[in-house]
Amino acid sequence: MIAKARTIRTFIIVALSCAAASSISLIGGVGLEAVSEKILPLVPMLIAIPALNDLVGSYAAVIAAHTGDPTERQRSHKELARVIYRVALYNIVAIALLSLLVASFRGYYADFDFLLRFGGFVLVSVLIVVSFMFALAGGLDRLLRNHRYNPDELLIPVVTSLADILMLGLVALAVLTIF
Amino acid sequence: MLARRRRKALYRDEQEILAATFLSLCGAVLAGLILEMNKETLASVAGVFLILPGVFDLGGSVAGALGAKLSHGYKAHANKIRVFFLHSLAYSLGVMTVAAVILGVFGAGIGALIFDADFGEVFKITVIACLICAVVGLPLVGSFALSLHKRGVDADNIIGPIETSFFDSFSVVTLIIAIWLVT
Repeated sequence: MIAKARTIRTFIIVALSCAAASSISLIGGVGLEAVSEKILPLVPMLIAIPALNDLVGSYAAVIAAHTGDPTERQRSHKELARVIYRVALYNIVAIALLSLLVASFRGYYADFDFLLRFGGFVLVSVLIVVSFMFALAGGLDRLLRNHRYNPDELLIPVVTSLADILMLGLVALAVLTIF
Repeated sequence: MLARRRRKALYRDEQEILAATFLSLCGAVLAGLILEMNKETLASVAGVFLILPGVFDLGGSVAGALGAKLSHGYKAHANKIRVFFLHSLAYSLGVMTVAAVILGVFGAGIGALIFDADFGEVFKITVIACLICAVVGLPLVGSFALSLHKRGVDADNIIGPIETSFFDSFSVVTLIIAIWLVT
């Protein structure tokens, strides 16, 4: 009886947590919906959106997990940052190249001006979001530990949700201003 | 000696992170291609781009949790693995259903308030897309995680990027199917 009640309570908490995390992503979706008409002709950008969104989720999990790990705190934050930024540069090149390649197969012709703007946007947006994640994860970890909370339970979903919103906001801003 | 060990550990971390992110990136670019190929369908209903990130995230989160649960409970339930698998799957389907309804309410509400979208339409599209994702995608991810363990592979290192790649592309497909069903 008690075990059943515990299972039901856990089920409700898990369902609400998943719903809350994905509902927070809707804030980023507002930006996307607002510029949906302008973004449709920008084929490489449309192709890159899931990749940029995905990148945020992957890095948020890695950064938050390493930040919240008690054994990792002894390692230099700089060492982790060096690894993450190096990997991010490879991913930036991969996203830009793959998006442009796939877009060209779809018949989209990108002139040099667009290539520069698109490549520059992918580079700057990923670097901004990764830096934001490091700052947020570090600050939140210190705050949670000072208030005697376990950072493991909150760090990854909070960092992922907020970084998601930032990335999609940057996409919307870029569509409105740069392209 | 310590510095060399540290450098080795960092290099290993770098290779693992690079491999994992590159794998999920390929799936995400495929999702982008499917998105681009069906942009007219997606743009035909107001509010679909609003719910797109939410549907991506929900599918990935629940699938990731199912993969982790099966991985961590595999040894403890080795002699009743089928029952454990079905129980975990049913649990994840239930979580996905409840979360999809809540996401649908919020997404449709924001769409109706800000973008003048049809509440009922956006709600139905969100819930149907998430349910198709759950009914088709979760058993596949769960079976894959179990098959990895049967082969002695640590699924924790692999399942994350694979399920992310799969669910990114699959979420776009389910959204398109949901739009066809509702409109």
